[in-house]
Amino acid sequence: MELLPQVILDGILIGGIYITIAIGFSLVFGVMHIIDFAVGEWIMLGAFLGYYLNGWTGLDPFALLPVVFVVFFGIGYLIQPAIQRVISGHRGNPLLMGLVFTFGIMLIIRGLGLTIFGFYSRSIPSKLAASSWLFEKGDFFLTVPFVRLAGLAFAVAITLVLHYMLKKTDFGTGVRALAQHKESAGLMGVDSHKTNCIIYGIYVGISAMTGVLVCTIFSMTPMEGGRYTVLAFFVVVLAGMGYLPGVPWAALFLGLIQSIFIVYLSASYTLLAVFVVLYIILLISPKGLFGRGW
Amino acid sequence: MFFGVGAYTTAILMKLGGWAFILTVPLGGLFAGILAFFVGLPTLRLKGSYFAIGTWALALALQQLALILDITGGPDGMRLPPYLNPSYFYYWMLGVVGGTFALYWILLEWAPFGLKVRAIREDQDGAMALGINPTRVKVQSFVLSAVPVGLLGSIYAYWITFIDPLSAFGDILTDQAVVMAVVGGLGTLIGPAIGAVIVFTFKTLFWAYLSDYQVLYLIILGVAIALTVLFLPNGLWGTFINYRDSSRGMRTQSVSRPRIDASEHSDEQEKGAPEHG
Repeated sequence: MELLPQVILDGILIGGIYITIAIGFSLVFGVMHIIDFAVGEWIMLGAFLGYYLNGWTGLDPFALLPVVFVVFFGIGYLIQPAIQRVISGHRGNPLLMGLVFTFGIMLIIRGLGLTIFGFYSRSIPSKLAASSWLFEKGDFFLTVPFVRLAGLAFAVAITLVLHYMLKKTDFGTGVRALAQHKESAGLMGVDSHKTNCIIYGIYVGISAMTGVLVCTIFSMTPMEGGRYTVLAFFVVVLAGMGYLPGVPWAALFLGLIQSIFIVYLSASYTLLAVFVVLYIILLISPKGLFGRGW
Repeated sequence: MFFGVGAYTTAILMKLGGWAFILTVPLGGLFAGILAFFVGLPTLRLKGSYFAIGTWALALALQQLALILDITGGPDGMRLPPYLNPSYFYYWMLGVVGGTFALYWILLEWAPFGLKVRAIREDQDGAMALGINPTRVKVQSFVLSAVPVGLLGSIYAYWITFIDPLSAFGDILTDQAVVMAVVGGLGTLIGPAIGAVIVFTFKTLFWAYLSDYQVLYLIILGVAIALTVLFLPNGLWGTFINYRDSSRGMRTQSVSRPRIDASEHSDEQEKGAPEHG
């Protein structure tokens, strides 16, 4: 029982990473109804850009986040028109076509990643990684690694910025209008093409920044992208597809489940356990934890 | 995923249970079908196609399970008693593939089941209004698609005589299946067969001449998918039918080939093809 506070804390800290993994994915689905199979690969690419930038400049990974965001915002902005082309027009099933197209992109990125970066695992060194807080009072103790805490702080910041952008700015109002009804939003003067490109850029940028965090806290290999795609998918389905406010809670919930399983059972059962939990929740409430999904 | 289930069913039953190969093959198909039923029940209730990621995730979970269980041999995989007779397996494969094709043909082209499937594909809400239960039909189709894969997995296990979590639940199998279906034409019976021929011809050539650059294979698969979806969304076979029908100036029979119909309308407008029918 002495472990319980530590387990809960670890769960919350892991959950913080899951928020950033899933929040862009959910945003893109909510606005454009694209399920991006390549989300894990953006995370992977971001991690490697961070790794090399860190090697060249020697700057702390947290200082590199804006650079990574700008680069991948550009990539997302440029790639969106191709996806838009696939999911619109007289094509049988837009959702399926988008899924298949991003599946293709995923294979390309993974292949390129393996060619360029090799099969080795990389990790970005950070000054924060060496230090942590330690509370101790008799039997009760609690360790808070600084890097993970910074990761959680970053996730909270991203969530708040997105919230502010969507609720308080004109651009956000346009995005929400677009998510509700594309044609009407167009008639009200929302430039759907440009908005979609920007949203997609934001999503790819957030995912890439998450990659830098993951690479700092854990490590990254070019093969690992798929794992994060699955995690992002779990969080988003748990929250309800496209229901953004549910994402942070679903992510924290998932982090808690994972940390409990790692400590009390075995790390090798976590994916299975998470899947079973997801399965049961979907049986009870197909629209996610809050019943507000698409 | 269902491939792996079939493969492990055969391997476990033959090795630990001492069962005859012939008995394990139907069981491989059966287990794959049962799994498909339980997976499909919650995921297929969700609208849209993203249950695809759900099954993909389950494949990862099953791979993990195969890695940690004792009964599957863990990461070392399982060895089966060798049976060196390629033509024996050739006839088994031919039988399963032929049987599957015949069954699908009858079910989808002749039986009412095919009409229900098409109705849901065209308009799910409309189909519901006609008294069709979409989830039930989807689960039935899903089970139907899983059983042959399970059967083939069973045969594969005894043929290759060695399976491990990576070969049975690995990504490359899924990747290739997606390419075959997309390049050939989604939602058609003949399309994936054409796609399979193309993929395997290419694969053989690739391993013969370029085996030093294994990773390139992934990139080429990815490029093939992306380009096909961008420029030939109906796949090779779908585009061919489309072209044939529009050059004859015939209306496609909307019952038998609805996937083509979606684009037929725009084709007629663009090319101004006359309508004789």
